[in-house]
Order: sequence, then structure tokens, then C-alpha cells
Amino acid sequence: MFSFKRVLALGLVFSAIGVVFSGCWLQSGNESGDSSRSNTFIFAQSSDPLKIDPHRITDNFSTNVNANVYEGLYAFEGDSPNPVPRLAVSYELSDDGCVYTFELKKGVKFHDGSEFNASVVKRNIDRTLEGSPTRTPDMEYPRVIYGDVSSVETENPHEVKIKLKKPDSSFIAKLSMPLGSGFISPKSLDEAKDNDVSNNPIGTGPFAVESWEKGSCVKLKRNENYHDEKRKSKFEHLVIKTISDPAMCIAALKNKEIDATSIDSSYEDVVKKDGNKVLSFTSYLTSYMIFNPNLSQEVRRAISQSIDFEKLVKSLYKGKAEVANSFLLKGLSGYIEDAGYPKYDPNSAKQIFESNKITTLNMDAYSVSKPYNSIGGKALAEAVAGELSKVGVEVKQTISDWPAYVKKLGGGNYGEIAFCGWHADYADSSNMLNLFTSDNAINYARFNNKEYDSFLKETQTLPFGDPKRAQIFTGLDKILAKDLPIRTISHETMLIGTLSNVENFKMPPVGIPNFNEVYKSQ
Amino acid sequence: MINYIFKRLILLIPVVLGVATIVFLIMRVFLTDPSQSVLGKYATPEQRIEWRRDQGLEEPLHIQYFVFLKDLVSGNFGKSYKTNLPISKEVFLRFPATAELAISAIILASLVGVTIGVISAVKKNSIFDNIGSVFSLMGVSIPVFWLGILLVMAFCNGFIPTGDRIDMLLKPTGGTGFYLLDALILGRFNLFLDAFRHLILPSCTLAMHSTAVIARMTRSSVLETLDQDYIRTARAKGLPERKVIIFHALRNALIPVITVIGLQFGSLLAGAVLTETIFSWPGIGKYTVESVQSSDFPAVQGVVLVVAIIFILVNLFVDVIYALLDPKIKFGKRSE
Repeated sequence: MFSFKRVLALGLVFSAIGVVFSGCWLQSGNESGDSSRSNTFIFAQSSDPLKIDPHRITDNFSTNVNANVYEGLYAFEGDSPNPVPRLAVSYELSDDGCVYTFELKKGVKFHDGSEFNASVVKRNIDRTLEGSPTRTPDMEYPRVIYGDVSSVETENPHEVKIKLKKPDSSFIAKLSMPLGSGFISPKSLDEAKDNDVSNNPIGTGPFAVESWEKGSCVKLKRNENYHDEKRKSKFEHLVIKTISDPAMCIAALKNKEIDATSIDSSYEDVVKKDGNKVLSFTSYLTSYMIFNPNLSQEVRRAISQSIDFEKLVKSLYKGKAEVANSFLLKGLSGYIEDAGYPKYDPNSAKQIFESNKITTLNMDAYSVSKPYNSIGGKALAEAVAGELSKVGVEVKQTISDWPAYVKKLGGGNYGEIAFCGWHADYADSSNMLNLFTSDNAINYARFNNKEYDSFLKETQTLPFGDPKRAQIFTGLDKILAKDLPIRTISHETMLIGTLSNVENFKMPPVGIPNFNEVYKSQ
Repeated sequence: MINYIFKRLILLIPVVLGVATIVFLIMRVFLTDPSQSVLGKYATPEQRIEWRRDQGLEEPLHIQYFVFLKDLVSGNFGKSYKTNLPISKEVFLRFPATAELAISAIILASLVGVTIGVISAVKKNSIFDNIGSVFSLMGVSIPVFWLGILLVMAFCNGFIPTGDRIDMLLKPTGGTGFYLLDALILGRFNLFLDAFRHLILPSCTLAMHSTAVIARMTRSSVLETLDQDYIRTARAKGLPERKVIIFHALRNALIPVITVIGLQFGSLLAGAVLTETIFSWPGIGKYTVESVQSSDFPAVQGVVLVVAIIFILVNLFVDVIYALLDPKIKFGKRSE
């Protein structure tokens, strides 16, 4: 049956495959050396980074890598929300509030050895400006930061002047955003393929990219020539690893394959039971419900009064979230504990529903969990529907996946109630309150209040720390509570699970970990 | 045989066209606007429309379809919306991971499946046969994601890794992308051992279903062979039972089994979506899931087409091997 010819033919086929493999090998590179696990910090996240190009990223998974490779003029330090100079030393603001003159840090080198200077700043900002041939549609975060920039001028190698079309007192806060603000080496920009520097990512950050295995991990190596000795990492390597399944992430932590990962509150006990730590971080997260603009204010009030938010938040988030009685959060300018949302009063709510002959309401929610609502939209919607049923209102729920849900919100095709949330990108109240200006595309509640718009505009002309600015923000929060386009629900904390020997892990409220201070005890 | 292979390759064209059409329509009908994941939360509706226009997504469906076919004919699978990289490159980068997992799974499934099948057939109706039958039934019934999670829970002990292909600190750069092979070429035993440890749980999970199918096929094929006259003749000649089973029964019984193994290998290569997702295995299956989740149309279209082509080619290869092994098969001729 197995004649010589047949065996020979099979042998030839397998030999051919072998030759192909060998050929691949000869064309490829060599191996990297071994490194010690103790000299490496491994952080796991649920998705792969999309790009290692700070101007072209819009998600936190990419930012966790980019923030360690690239740096901007200002940044967050440790777990503080306040911007500190990073590649800038200081700035001066002109009297009209439109010209920022930055003094740049001297002696800063990119990973490729080239010098960081004013012309680099100009080239990087120019890359992202409207009308620039190098601007791409995904440069959304640079647009948030530099959208009002009219020109960038270099006075000398260590001084740069950024002119704005109109005053923007949150400009420094915006510059500290890890998304969009980092500076790329000119060489890397020159060699970019399709205007994407991911193939050759070179920044000034505490780590340089060593390798990127798609779908698996990005391996970063400590920048030995880093410009700030105090911020130099204690680890030789930082690895950002992708583990899609949350349960597998917890298993990897138990197995000591990773050092830290984001977790949701349902895994807290499991992580602790394994002998590991759960760290809780204050975050700029607000979860809220929006009301359909066709709904009368009286009914919106009744819905708010129907729900015992204290009880609801406590039972849903198990102590990992605070009930939100204001849209702004602690630490942000103008924050007050209670903006004046209607208090829980089921009897009053029942009367209003009866007088308006409302017995059913339509509710839209998303299916996934979000940073501002880790239990997922469905669980939240069910809890709210349960509260409304107690006052005699039946709720018809529609649960959609996230992209379909956002499309629904954008088109205004949602029921009387829908759920939203916001994770602030920089430490300024304007980043949150901007959501409800009448010209904002993501003002899903369709809130239209000219007074609100003009007050918010005024805050951009006032100096950053001006008390009047804080007063205006407080007033705007109160307008939201009075007019009720929304009802705030909760401010959730972010949880990080780490191995028991991980110390000094820090994360600012914008939710991007700082790895420079973390270390492992013996 | 050359004619037969040529005809089969020609048949690839309508199959690929059909797959391309189906996947194109599914993507457009069921998935949502990809600009959500590409442009981020600050993008205005106008910017989303502009981006969609740039990508050709604002064109009527039939125009989009013809553009897609035109690109396909010229071998252009397009670029990923998310990463902006050519799909061919994205697939090429991930293929070694999927292939290594599929090869190890099929080797495991073949060894275990054939062994169980032969023992079950030889010891028909014994306790071994019953155990084998229960195993086969479980193998085809247990959902992969459930088995994967159970295995992780059972073996999460520090020695067997729960995910990924290799300890990233040992990872070789370049090479074939098949880490076991790379480790052997480099002569690095620690690298080989590490890659092997990483393969244990995913390949066991992936192999479970195939093992069961192969075991059932082997059992029935061996049973059928054992009833043949030449087996009786061999026994009558006084050959030891071991020789009769191995050299007479098994050699003939394995021909249909090899076909099954080949087909199973084709489907394993086509992307072990669940296994790769559970074990964070950076292969084609995991990439497909991520691409579907972010409505990355070109990525999903490209991957499905590549997978379809691989599946067809593997089937063709199996048919050719079958003919080489079984002299009764003559391509293009009717049996007389």
C-alpha cells in the first residue's frame, strides 16, 4: 500500500514546507536576550493598543502605552489631577489670554538621541492643525487641545509661543492629557508610513518601545538617558499585555503572570482571596440618565423622585461608587456636594404620574459595562425600572450594543429615559460641563439653554484659578439640577488588582496609570 | 491528478466570490458605524460623515460592493480602519500563532483519538469501550469556552501559564513566528519549554472536539476492518494479535481517519475563535473577534476570505494525500 514513490512524494512535500520555514528564518532577525521577571512590570488590559502615535489615538488601551513613550509640555504626576510641567519649565500668558509662551526644558533627548526643542514642538502641533496635509480624521484629541491654535512660533530653541484664536483658560489642563499631547521625534515623523509613526515610535518618555507583538503585548525598555532622574523607572522593562477575558486576567494575576490589571468590583473578593491587593482610585467618572427632551419637566422631576439613588447605588456598586448629587466631582473647580436634584419622594412622584396619566415609560440602555458603570447598562436599567415600578410605572427596556446605542442617542431615537456617562480627560470642570452646551454633538439630552452656554463661554476667558470661574461652574451644575435634562446617578471609583508585593502604584483620576513610581517589595 | 488539482483550484473562484458577497452583506447589514471606534468620543457628526465618505461608506451599497470586488481581484484586501495597516500584513503577523496552535492540537487529537478509537474497537463492549464512548460524547458536547475556563481553574498553579504564547521576556524576535520551531533552531531549551508550557491548555482545549471525532471515526473504521477476510486470513496464519491489529487492521482503517484528521485540521487552522479569545492567543481567531467588535469591515472581510481559502486548500491537500495513500482512488476516472 505505501509504495516507495508515495513515501517519496510525501517526503518531498514535507521537505518543501521545511525549506519555506528555513527561508523565513534566514530572512528574519535574531533573538533578544533574556530578562529577569523581577526587573519587569507587567500590566494587563483587555484590548490591544491600536497605534503608538500619540496624535492618532482615541482609546485608553493605546494611551497606556503611548503615555510611557511620549511626553507633552505638561502632565499628571502620581495620582494627582493637577498638571505639572514635564517638557516645559514654565509659561507666561499674555494679557488678552491668547498667547502662551513656554520655556522648554533643556537637555531633553528623544530615544534616538535627537534633541527636543521649540522647532519639534512647532512641527508636532502643526502636524495636527486643521488644514494641515498631515492631519487625519482620527486626530480628535489634538483637536480638543489645539483646536483654537492660530499659530506656533519659535522664538529660540528653548522658547515657543502658541497663539490662540480666543482665550482658553483650560489650555494648560488640556496639555496635560496623555492623549494627543505627546511629542514625536522629527526622524520618526520623517520615516512615518502613511503618516503613522507606530512602526518607529520615538518619544522622550521614560520607556522606549522594544517590540510590539500584535494581539499579545508591547514590550517597553527603560530609557536610560531619561531627562528626569527622579522619574526614572525602577524597572528595566514595562510590558503592556493584552488579555481579553476578565476572568483570565484574574487567573493570570493569581498565577503571577502579570503584576497589575484593572478589575471591576465583582472580582474584588476573588483577587483578595488569592492573597493579592485591590487598590481603589478616585476617578472623574459620572454616570447619569438623560431624559427625552419631549418629556415635560414635571415628569422628569417625578422620575427623579421615584428613585432612591442612595439605596440603588449602594446595592449595585457595593461601596465602590458614591451617589452623585452633582455632575461635577470632588477635586474639580466649582464642585458642590449637592447641586439640588429632586429628593426621593415616591408619593409626590406617584401623584405627578397619575395627574399626567403616565403608566408606561420607554427606557434605552447599553449592554456593555463602561468605566463609569462597571456593572453594565442592563443591570442599571433593571434597577431603575424596579424603582419606577414601585410608583406604578411600567418600564419597557431596550438594550442595545454600544455602537448601536450611541447611534440611537446621536439620532435622538431613544425612549423617555436613556443612560450615559462621562470620563473626564483633563482636570477642568469645563471638560464635563461642555457636554450640555447646545452646539455640542454629544449633547444627547438636547439641552438648550443660552444662559448656560454663555456662562460656560465666559469661564474660558477667566484665569484658571479665578474664584469667579469656580462660582460659575457651581452655578452651571445647579442649572442642570434645576432644569433636569439629566439626573446624575453615581461617581464610581476605579479598581486595580495588583500582586501583594506591588507598592506605590499610582493613577490620576483620568484613569491612565503612572508606572514611574511603582516598585515591588521583596 | 494535475487536472483534478487545477479543476479544484478553478472552483476556488466561485467559492471565494460567494464568501466575499456573504461577508460583505453581513458586515454592512448587521454591524454598526465603524467611525464610533475610530474617531473617538469627541468627533462631531460632520466629522463622522467625512470619515465615512473617505472610506467610501457613504456610497450606495452596490457601488461599495463593486469597489470591494475590484480591490479583491487585484489582491488588495484593504487596510484596517483601526490600525491603518494592510489586512494582509495583519493576517500574516498572526498566522504563525494560529498555525502553531492548530498543529499542536491536531497532533494531540490524532494521537489520543486514534489510541482511544483502536482500544475501543479491539475491546468492543468492554469497560474501555464504554469509557471511550463517554469521552467521545463529552468531547463533542462540551462547549470550548467552558472547558477552557475549567482547565484554567484546575491548572492555575504557576507552572502552566493561563494565556499568551510565550513569556514575553524570552520571546525571540524575527524567525518563523513558530516559537517551538524557532526555539529548536536556536537550540534554546528554556525557550522551547516555555513555548510548550504555554501551548498545553489552549491545545488541550482546542483538541478536545477533534479528539472525540477522530476517536469515533477510528473505532468504527477499525471495527469494519476487523471483519474483513484478510484479517481472518492473517489470524488463520497464526500471526500474533498485536501484529494483526497494527500491521493489517490499522493500516487500512486509518485511510478514512486521515481524511477526518485533515478536515479537522482545516477547521482548526480556520481560526480557533473561542480558544484564542479565552487564552489571549494572538492568532487569527482573536483578531477576528476584535475586528467584529469594532466594526472593522476590511479586517473581517479579509480574515474571512483568507480563512475560506486556507480551508479549501487544506481540503484539497487532504484529497491529494488520500489518493497517494489509497491506490484504489484515481482522480478524474470513474470506478469500474
